[in-house]
Amino acid sequence: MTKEFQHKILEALKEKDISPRPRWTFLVKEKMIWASAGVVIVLGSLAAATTIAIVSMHDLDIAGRLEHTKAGWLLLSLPYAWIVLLVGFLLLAEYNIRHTKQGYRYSLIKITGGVIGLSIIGGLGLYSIGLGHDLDDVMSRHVPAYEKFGNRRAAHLLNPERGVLAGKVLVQEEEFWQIQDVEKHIWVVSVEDAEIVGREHTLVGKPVRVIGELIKDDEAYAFEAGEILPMKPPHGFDRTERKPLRERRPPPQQTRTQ
Amino acid sequence: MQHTQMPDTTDEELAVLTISNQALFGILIERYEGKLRRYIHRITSVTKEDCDDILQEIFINVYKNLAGFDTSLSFSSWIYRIAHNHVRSQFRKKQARPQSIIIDADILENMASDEDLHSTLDKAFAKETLERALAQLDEKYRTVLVLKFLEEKEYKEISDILQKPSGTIGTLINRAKKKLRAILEKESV
Repeated sequence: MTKEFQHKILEALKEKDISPRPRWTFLVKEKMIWASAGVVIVLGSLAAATTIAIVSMHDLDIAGRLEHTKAGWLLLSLPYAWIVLLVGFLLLAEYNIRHTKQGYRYSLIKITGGVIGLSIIGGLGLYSIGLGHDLDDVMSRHVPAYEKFGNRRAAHLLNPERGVLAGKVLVQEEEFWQIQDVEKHIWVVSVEDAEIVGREHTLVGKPVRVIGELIKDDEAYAFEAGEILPMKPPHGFDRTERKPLRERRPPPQQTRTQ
Repeated sequence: MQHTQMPDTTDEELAVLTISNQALFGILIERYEGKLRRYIHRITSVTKEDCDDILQEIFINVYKNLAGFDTSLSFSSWIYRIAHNHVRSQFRKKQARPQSIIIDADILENMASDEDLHSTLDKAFAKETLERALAQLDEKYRTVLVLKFLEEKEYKEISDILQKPSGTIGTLINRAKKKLRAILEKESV
């Protein structure tokens, strides 16, 4: 049987002109798997860096005013979209590593631990050189509705009923400022009695946090500022310059001032 | 090169030489035909003709992928892996399950010497009962027991064949033994 069987297979190989696949195809496949695992780990590190950057700007100083415990506020402030992205990248990296030649030899715990460790170390490294902030900035400029799912800091700080407002300064005058919040409403903020922390020559174009009181007004979005605090990035606002109300043509519809 | 047995040449060396000399593949076929044929019969139920076809496909697959042979493995583990994956993909849909697995007397002795199975095998004991019981196990448990006790592979080899971590293999074997013992106890009542 053996000789006959051998002969049959060798004949089949000859007849069908089958030859071994070249070694380089296996090498390329293996390198591609490792390379894609590497790319995914770098992407995971970027997601981790941005997550760290966003979490580092926790606004705990305002949590109490918004009637949140510090832990509750931190949980609310976590950038879940970035965390989901990070987990997605980790799963992809793990899948790739498990499909390398030796990948099956390592337990799920070892691979998962390794991938998480690498992403966290990479994330801290990228955060320390400012890439977390930069990526958040790029996303806020180019990704529509980023402030609604990516960095929700500005949205969480928009609670005028509880005396907290966050927005970008459009006009800065002696008594009144115009501030545009994350929902694109333009607020007229009275700053006459406000303490402006870390005052700069001009804050136009920059986001600020305003602590104060909502002025009940059916005609306008109006607010009385008691304290104006700087809002360091990442804040989730698009950092491109916006023109104030009077310089726009036609006048914006969403404000109730004028 | 003349097609001889080349007894002093290892399988791993032969695999490398075969890439440039097709005729040497005959020696590898000769070395593994019997083992793989038995393995296929043990993990699935096929007729002799089907087994021939499957074996032929496996050897052609092995030949095509010779340059991808991972030298960190033994050739035996690698060829068993290809055979296992091929059989599994062919029969996954059909759910082909052997009605009975043929066990030699020395293999029965080997299994009975395992401390987890010793007492049960003492009681149960008809060889046929064990053969039927193995056939009743789920595929993943049957496969690890077949590799461990019938093919007499080490944990590391089983890990390389099934592409699972050694720890997982240990767990699978333990569970498989428990399940086998339960079936045997039920059969002996």
